[in-house]
Amino acid sequence: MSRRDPAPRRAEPTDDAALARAAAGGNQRALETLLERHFDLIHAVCRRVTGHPDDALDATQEALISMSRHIGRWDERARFTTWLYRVATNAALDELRRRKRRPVPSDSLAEPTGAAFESGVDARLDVDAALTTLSPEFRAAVVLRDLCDLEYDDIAEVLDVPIGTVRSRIARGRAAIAEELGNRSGDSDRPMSRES
Amino acid sequence: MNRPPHRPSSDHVTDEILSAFADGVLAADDAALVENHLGECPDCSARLAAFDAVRAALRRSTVEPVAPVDEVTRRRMISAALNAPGAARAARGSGPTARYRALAVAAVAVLAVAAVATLRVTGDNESQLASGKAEAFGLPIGPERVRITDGALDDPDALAAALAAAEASTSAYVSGDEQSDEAYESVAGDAAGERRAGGSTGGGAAIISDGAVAQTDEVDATGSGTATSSIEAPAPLRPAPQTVIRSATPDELRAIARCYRTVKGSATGGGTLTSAVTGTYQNAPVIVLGFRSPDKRTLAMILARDSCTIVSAQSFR
Repeated sequence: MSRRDPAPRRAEPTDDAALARAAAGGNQRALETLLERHFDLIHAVCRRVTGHPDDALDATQEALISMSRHIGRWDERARFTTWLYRVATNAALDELRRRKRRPVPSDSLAEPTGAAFESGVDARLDVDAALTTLSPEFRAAVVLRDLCDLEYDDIAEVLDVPIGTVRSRIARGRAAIAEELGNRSGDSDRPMSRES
Repeated sequence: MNRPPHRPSSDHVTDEILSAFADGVLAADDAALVENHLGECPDCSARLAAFDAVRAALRRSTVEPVAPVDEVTRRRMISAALNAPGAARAARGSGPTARYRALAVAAVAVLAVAAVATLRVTGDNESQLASGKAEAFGLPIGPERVRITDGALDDPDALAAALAAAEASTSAYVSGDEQSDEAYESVAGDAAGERRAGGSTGGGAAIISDGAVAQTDEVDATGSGTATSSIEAPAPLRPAPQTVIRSATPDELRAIARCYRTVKGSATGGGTLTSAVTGTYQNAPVIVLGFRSPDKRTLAMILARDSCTIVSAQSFR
């Protein structure tokens, strides 16, 4: 179970696992390399989960800080990227909770996308708009599955919930989006429900 | 992972089962049951089609990537994470990193002594001295691109101008204090200017600002033995740092070299060092390292002079 390599490393570590070990041991350059390398992934997860560019930046900053502080908590039982997803998703969910239902522009959802939804769910999707109709937990599950392409068991690990909960959240999230789009394509004047 | 499978109800398949079926994650037996049901139930088939459409639309959206964060913001965020309280870092005074640092500091000290010795040996050829000095500190840029300013660099324009001037200043390099006096005059023309040029000793080569106004603040405590002047030059050739330019002292070069070693590599985004400028930023003494990125942008990395931690980073076209 020992995950620290006691032998001194002469070469600069390059793979994630070696960098994470080095970073946990106080090698700041290794930590910086990891932050650099995974910045875009973290930001993309935060952007999709929060659904808002400013929130995404705040969440990304929190995720980076969390990585810096807790790099030693990655225990190598999970892949490093799975741990990263977890850190990023949690930061994004925390950000959403902090913002507590940022008033979502109901007209901004209905108005510019009308044309896009003319042909129903098969039309081009305004992802952020559709995802904001979901509660954060459902949104995170759908984002991790459909935008980040994670497997169900990875998502369970990232969200720290049983796999059955993952299946349920993904299904309910997708059903809500399908319904949302169906509503909008059928009646663009219809007020949007913020809750799913 | 191996949760007991949900059995579809006799009437319709639940959303959860349909969604999992769409993802292909049902066990083979369950998938077969669902498939049979779909063959005879238009309602469930339609719901499955809706799930598939949502999945496809979401996946297609990934073709349109999230707008990237600009380099400056990105750098600032990473720096903030690295310097956050509680961030992983080596304990002071122990461990390989600390030992490495101690060795590095010792090496720099040796180089500094060597540099001083070189200065004494080579005597009056100030130009060569200054070159040797910069190289001795391991900086991959000539001394003419090390600009010692006494001004504030809080303003992005001043920062950009200082870096630009440093990068372009080779031609303004003048060696020796007497020669530099002449050069000042030749640059300043008839312009009235106060001069309180101290006698330059040792490494007192001067680098003249290309700018319009060269103000003088008090010489930094480490700047003893260097020439400072306050003059007004004629029309500027380019935007100028609002500072007097003087030669770097060994202490300054040491700090610059230390900071350079700290950030070179991944932190610089693959850029090469093109200039170094000192000054103050948010009232604290800083070193600004200018890196030229492969896409021809200048990244100004602002580091606290004592600790070499990144205070900010800004990029310019």
